[in-house]
Amino acid sequence: MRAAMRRHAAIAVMTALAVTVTACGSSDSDTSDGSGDTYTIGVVNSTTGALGAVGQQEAKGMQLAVEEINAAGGVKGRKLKLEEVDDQGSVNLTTAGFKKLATETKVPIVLGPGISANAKAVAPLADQYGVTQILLVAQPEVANGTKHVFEVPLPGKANSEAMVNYAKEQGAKSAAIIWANNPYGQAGNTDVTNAAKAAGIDIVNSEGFDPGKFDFTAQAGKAAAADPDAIFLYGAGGSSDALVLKNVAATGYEGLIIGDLAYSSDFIPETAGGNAADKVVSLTAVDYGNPDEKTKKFLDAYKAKFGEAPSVLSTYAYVSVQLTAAAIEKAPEYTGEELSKAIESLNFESIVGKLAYTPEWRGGPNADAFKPVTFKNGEYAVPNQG
Amino acid sequence: MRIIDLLVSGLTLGAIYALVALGFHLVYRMTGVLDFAQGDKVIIGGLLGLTLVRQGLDTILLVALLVLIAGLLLGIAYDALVILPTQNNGHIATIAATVGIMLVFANGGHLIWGPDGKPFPPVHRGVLEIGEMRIGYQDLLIWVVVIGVAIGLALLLGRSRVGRGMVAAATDPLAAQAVGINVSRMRAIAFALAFGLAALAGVLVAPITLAGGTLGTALTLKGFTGAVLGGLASTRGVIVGAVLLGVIESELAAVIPNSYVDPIVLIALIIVLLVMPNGLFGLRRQRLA
Repeated sequence: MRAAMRRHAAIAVMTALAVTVTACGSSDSDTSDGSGDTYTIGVVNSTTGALGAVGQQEAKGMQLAVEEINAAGGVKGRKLKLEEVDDQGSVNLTTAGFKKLATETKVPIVLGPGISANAKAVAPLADQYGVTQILLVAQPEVANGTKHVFEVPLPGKANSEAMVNYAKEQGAKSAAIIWANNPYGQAGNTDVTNAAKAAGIDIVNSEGFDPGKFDFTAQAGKAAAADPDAIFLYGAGGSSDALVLKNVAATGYEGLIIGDLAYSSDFIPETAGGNAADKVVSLTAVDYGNPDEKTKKFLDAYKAKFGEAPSVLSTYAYVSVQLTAAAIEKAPEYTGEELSKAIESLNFESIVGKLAYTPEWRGGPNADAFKPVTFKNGEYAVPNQG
Repeated sequence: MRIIDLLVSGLTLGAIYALVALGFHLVYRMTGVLDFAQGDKVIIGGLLGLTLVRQGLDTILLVALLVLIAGLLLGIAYDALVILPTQNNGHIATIAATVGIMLVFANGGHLIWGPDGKPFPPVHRGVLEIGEMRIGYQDLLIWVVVIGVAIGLALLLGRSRVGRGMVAAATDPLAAQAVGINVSRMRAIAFALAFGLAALAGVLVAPITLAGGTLGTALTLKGFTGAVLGGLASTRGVIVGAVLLGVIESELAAVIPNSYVDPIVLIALIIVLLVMPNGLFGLRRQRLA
């Protein structure tokens, strides 16, 4: 009887755990709106929780950009200051954090969030509160049609098109897809499948993987057994992506392995192993393999500060602060209305491509802005364009 | 060829689940408590090991030994800070406390070491090739440790005076105290052993799962599922349940879409428990009794 009660108690606790979303507060303090000697910029980000890796990368990019701008004298003689709210990945905390920044801290501009579900929830609030918002998600449909919402990331659909275009250039006629079973990866699977169909590439196998697991032998085996000319990998932006690549390489597959931008992360060689990393070509927003002067300066500064290469997410966040600074410089007043007008008129040339917004288009640059990158001996390299 | 590969990866997956399941079993048999922080203790062990490796300690067996010792000490602290204050309020309060500390471990680990999994060196690199079968030496080591721990636990709980004292203390604390068993000490030893085992497991599995990351809760759920499937009170049942879970998951993933695997496995578990409420080996024990 007691054993049965214990078991029931355990099941009750586990059920409660499964359905409960933990939520608690955020941290912010200042109420500056641009008067005085600083411009305060709001940030809604997920630096803790299951998707904390995303937010922490973004936070680093923003931090570096603010330091660089302030070291160079700030904007219009004033320093930039970030007022950050950690939403812990929770949609409820994102909206609560945004409202707090808009009404209590009274910032005219908010950067982030970088998670699709949170971005969708919070984007309508920007127009409601008259606050400019720069999202760090790759889904233009979230921002298109709004008055005050913009996106920096290159659209996910464009990433898929770039991957398929690369495969076609290399002569691929058939392909398999292994995709992260989350909203980002699911959208990637759909986009790659559609782009492949349009390009005449036959998809012979499509398999999802759970980013919360670590053994992907089955998915890799199924993809390799279909013997395609290329295997597309659409990751989750975490270390599980590297483990998927490791498993694919372990099958002995010798065709093309083409990854989305998640596969340009600098931890890929160490986590997947050098042999596996050398085989993947990532279509990515940052030209790690052959950077121009501006990109190289950023890559070097980031590495010097944080001891690692910036991820694409860090880079988007870095660019979002630069875009904000340019908008503040151009806008006659530090208000949401004027900042949105300024951003739309800037045609800002960034290290991830030109950010050209219109009232209809609020997404990042198109497929042409993606660059192929691979690894050689653990370092970024330009792939052999055979 | 692929079936053999999947069997090897399934056995390793099951062995990893078994290391967590054995922690559940150990605590349950010795204290009557279900400790849902078991998976995150494994993650903490891996991260402690990673810290030592980053400090320049490159003999992984020595790292494992140090992490084991650290785990034993953490287990004593865990008992004093988490279990002792809640135990007088009944098992539900204690179980709730372990769920709470699971979240503390998970988020604390992210804050200190970062949220993403990190590469960890194996004890021995390379693979053993037997015909078409290729088994990583790290996989072999995990299998051997699981078997060794299972034998050790069976002997401890079934044959040793201390182990019998622990079981007695868990079954009827008042009666155990009346015959001179120090119930508090027994409980502290149980949690020390469970944390030590989890920490050691963390070092062993990190080369495969990566050190850190968000795997703790998943390990807890799978370890618990394996333990319940085999029979939480039976050492042999826990091992068989966990390994069976790993192998079935692995083989199923080869023939059906990945997203269907967990639901199918968990529905199968519910059916098994409806027919055999005490798990595969729990029922057998009852029949034998």
